[in-house]
Amino acid sequence: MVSSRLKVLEEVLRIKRVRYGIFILLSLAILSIFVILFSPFEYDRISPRVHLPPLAGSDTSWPHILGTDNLGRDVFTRTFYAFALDLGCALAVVILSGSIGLAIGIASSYLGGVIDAVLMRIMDIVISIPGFMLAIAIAAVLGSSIFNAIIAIAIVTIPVYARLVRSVVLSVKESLFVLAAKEAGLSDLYIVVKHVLPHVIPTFITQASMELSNAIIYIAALSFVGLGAQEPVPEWGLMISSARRYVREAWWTAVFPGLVMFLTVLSFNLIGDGLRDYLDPKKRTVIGVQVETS
Amino acid sequence: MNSDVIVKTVNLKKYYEIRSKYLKRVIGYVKAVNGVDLEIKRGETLGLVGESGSGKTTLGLVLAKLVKPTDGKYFLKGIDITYSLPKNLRGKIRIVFQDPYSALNPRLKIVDTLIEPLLAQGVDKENAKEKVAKYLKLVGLSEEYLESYPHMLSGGQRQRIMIARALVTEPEFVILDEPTSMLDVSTQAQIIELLKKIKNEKNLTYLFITHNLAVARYLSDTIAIMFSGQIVEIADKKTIFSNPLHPYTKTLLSAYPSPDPSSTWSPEIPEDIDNNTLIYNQGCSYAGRCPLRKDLCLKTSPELIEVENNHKVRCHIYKDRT
Repeated sequence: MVSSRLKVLEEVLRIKRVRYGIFILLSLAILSIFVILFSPFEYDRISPRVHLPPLAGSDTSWPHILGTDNLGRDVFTRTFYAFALDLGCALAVVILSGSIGLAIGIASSYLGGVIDAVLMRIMDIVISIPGFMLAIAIAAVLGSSIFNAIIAIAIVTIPVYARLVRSVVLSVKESLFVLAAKEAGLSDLYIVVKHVLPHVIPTFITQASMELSNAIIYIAALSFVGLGAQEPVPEWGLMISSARRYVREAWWTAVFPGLVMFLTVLSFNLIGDGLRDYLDPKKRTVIGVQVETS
Repeated sequence: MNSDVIVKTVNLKKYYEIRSKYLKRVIGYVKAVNGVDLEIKRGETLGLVGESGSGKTTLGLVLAKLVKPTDGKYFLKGIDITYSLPKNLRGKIRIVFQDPYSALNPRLKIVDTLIEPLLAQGVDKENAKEKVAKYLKLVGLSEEYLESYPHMLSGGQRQRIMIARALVTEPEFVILDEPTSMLDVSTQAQIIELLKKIKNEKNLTYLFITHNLAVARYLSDTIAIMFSGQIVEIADKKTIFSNPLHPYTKTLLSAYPSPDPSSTWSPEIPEDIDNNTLIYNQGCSYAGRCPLRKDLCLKTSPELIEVENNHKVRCHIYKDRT
């Protein structure tokens, strides 16, 4: 088992997109850890030296690599603190909505009948409302905080997993090896855990990696409109939001958080995209060439 | 009823509902199994032969307790198991599926697949593994296959695994649902020899479902011919081949080429008349194709009648002979 898993990892890493994605992500993560551990600046320390341009000198051993913002805080430090924060929040969103969506998908497909119909209609309702609008509504009702923003985004993204899992389970459920397991006298729960779930996991993980980038954008967007993180929390959306008034004088306060966010989202999309191609035999690439099968 | 009858079914039926497209009203039934009476004696192999869609696989699934019958009774060793299987009889009926390629979970090691039926019966893992190794040898595979994955095995090896999986619970009645039809010819022969050997060793009772008359002839003691959910003729294998009575059996046998190269092959191919008008009618289900059709055949459905000793046929032609 171990050797076959290693082999899968090796094959996945051979995909260029996945390699680039992981490279970008790791570089950003290392930078972020480095900043959190060693930066002489605090993310929330206000100073009178406002709107200093990038690489301006400071009273510490480090220059202000990406300049300072309107309150004299170091943009470089804040941007990479925000990397850790946003990534953590995105992970929380994905874990929350993923596990609930997985449970709903399995329950719906395995129990069928009325339960299936009710659960799926609820998912349809959630999906029929534009995601960001619904997230704003929920976050507004719950109150502005990063924690509530996570809950709002998780609720909005549950249907994606629920529908995906349901469709995979429905097809796996009909396979002969599930019938054979039933014939052996195994319980439904055992069959779900041992026979059905392993076939759901790969698709699920791919979707989750794509959803991570979505979650980052959602969190930043909610913070941008004032329903997520609040000052002085270092968060990309919030940083861009407070910088927008001074973009003409101090472009670096908005551009660099945006750029790092863009790179993070891009890396997750690259990884997710590569994983999807790897798992979908119809889209398998042969030596980098897309093979058309349909 | 004599005591060595191990499997007995009385008027077993399995209907599937046909529902209308939008309102989902029941507009008819597919009578996959339509009143089957069987008696299989201990140690006997009953060959169930029929064309595609004749309901033989559905019958196998009903007998394997995987599909609930619509009506009828099903006895194992004289105990009614139509609706529930007593605990001490679990694992006494097993089935080997037609397709060994999709019957094995590609993500499970062979050993994990094999011990499942034992785990389901509450045997602990260590004992189960020991037992499984023994059965793997019985089907002619060495123990090293325990740690492999299905994709590393050939079709024949997979089917051997499926046979071992069926045998680990020490069944008394094994349903073989076309176990060789997915395999190539040389492997077929090996699997059939294996099944024969195991049967003699373990004193098993087989229901062998097939559409291949040659295989049925080799392995079975008794042959039942199934058509449209019903047994149309049943007799021991010699009688079926030497003295087929039902027009459908005759057609089947004539379609079966002789191995003698000098003989010319001229199968009787009956003209198929409009079957749709007959489907919901009262008449004989074979009437649409039957070359010997009479008016009576379109009006009433014939009963299974015993023409000679242990030779039953479902046809109006033989009504007067009894």
